[in-house]
Amino acid sequence: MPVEVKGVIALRKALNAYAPDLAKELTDEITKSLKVIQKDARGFIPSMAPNNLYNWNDQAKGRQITAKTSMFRTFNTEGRLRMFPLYNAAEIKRGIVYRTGYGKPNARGFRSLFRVRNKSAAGAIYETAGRTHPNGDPRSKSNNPNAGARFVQQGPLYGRKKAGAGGDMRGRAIFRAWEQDEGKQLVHIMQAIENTRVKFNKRATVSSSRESA
Amino acid sequence: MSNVVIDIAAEFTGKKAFKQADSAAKKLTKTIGDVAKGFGVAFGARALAQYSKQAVLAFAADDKAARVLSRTLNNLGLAFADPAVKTFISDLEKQYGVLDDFLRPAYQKLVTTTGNWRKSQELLKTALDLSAQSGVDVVSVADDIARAFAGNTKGLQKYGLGLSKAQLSAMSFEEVLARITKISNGQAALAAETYTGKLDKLNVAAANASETIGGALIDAFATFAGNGSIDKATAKIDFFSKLLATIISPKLMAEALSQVDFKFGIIPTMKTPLTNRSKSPAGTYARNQAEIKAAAAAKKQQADLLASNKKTLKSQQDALKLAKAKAIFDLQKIQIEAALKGKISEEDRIRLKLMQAIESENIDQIDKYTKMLDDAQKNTEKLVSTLQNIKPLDNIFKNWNIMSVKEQLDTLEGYFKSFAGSAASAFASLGAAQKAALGGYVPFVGATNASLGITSNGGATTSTPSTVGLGTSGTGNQLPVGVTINTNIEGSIIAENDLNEAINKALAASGWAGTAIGYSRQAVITAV
Repeated sequence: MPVEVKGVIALRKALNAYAPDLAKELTDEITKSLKVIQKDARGFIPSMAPNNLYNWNDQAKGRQITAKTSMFRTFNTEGRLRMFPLYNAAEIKRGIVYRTGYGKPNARGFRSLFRVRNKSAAGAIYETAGRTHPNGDPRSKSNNPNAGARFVQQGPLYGRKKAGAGGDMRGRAIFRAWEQDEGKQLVHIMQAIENTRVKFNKRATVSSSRESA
Repeated sequence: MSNVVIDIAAEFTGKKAFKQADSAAKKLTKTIGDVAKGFGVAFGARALAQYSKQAVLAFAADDKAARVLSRTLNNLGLAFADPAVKTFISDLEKQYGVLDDFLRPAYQKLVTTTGNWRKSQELLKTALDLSAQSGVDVVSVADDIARAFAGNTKGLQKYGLGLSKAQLSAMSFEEVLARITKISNGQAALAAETYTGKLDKLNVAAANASETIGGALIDAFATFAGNGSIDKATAKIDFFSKLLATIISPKLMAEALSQVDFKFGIIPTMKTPLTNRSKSPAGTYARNQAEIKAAAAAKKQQADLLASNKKTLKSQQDALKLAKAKAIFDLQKIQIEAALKGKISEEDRIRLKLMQAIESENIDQIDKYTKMLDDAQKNTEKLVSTLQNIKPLDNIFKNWNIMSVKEQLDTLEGYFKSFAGSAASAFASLGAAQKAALGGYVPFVGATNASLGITSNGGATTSTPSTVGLGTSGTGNQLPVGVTINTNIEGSIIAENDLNEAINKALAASGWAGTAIGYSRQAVITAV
């Protein structure tokens, strides 16, 4: 669950309008912290498909998983049959990104301020496989009863799970990096925001103007 | 798309958004309240009855159009897409301010032709853009696009796409569509933002309200009529319209509108868009299967269409080839060819070449020779004009004072007569010594026989003038004109060889006779 803060959007708007140098400084500081998480998360991506799932590799020889052979048939936004995403470490690493701009409010009225995403399809599978059914889906009708478990057990899931929507913070890449960071980057980000706020307020007060004059 | 994300920090800003929504809702409630007040004041029961009748009719027409479209989709195997299509048309109507009365038939034409409901949605948006750009209604535009999809691009010429008829025919549908998109992209959205567009949106809202009220009225009438008969119910519409006037209130309207979203300003829309997902996996699977099947059918339809077009094109090409083959024996062409081999002017040659190109239907050659002929005719006209402007030359001798030949001869004769007289008189006046000094010269001009020493006219005794003093080499006195001097030579004339022979004979005879032979010149001459 994200940390709820107040006034950061207003602060950043004010910085952009009246102190662009401070706005840039703040963005740089936040970026430094987010890059640490990004770099750690990318380091957790195996070069080949995990758990010896060699047919999942996109360069696999022989019986590669395809849209036909996969039991997970999906459809893209245009309604066409979409191929099951294959494992490509470079693509997954490229898909681990960070954003510092605030987005649109979600259904509950919250706007995300800083975030790290694992946006590739294969990366999302590697990140979250086994969250819901750690031993495979019991409803599976596969000829191989252990196939589901074999696929989702790609490694331990790091992080914590809380009740409610968005409460499952377990994963193998970005969540693992976030978990192992133990909040150090969060503290750094908050300190950066606080420091910037203080600097900005100092500039804005009359006394500081007199002092500088 | 996956959404695996860590939100490190978030800020609650919903309050403002909710406040905006509250504000919008309150404004709408106020507007509706004002409208309702005006409605109550301005409209009497009679006016309301009229409105109700129109509302019922509007609903009926709308319901019929919706059912027709649903049936079409069902027939095409796209029944699963019906809810999505309805939502799409509803959203499009509110977004662009174009009534669904136009959008449905337009969409129907497109989906019937393409067989693909998603592609038809994109094409309908393109049709809206082109309609906004060209001013032609969206149904006609959709019809033209559907025809173009089937290979008939004739209808697209009127939109000024900057393409000739030949270019349109040669281009594929995707190329034509790209051209249309390039020209008209964003026009519908732009039109919707103008005041006219906003009024259209209000009209759409009003029309939809009419249809909704009409639908509710029909249901109510059908219920109150007892047996569900609409005919009976419409007879009681006046009564129910009065009832409706009493139940319409701002409070009820506000409650009804609280269930909807304000996606497009004050125009309400459904909150959640429909997707192709069902609540059960089996349902989702069935829908996906149906979609795959429909997509395959659409693909097959398009492939068939393409094959048919190719076949038509091939037959046209074959016909052209056949015509060309026939042209080999075409008398007209033969005559032209023969004429070209004769001696003809340049312009005639161009004319014949043009005729030849027309006969063989070679557009490039026709263009070329038409231009050449045009140029040649222009040059001819220029030449004719130049020649017409040239004036004839004046008589250069017209100002000369030319005497006639007779006058000249008369003048000359007079001169000589005067000269002759003067010369004769001048000679006559000379003394004897002076005449002797002249060496016997007597002037012929103006001379008389006496002065020339001629004493007799004709006969053997006629004396000739003295030739004393006459030169023979251009000096001294000359013979007068008309005088001929003849020299008579007497004796025989012998050739040199004959002379030699005669001498030899004479010498030989003398020798035989014993006569002394002297070689003096006299002796020789005597012998001869």
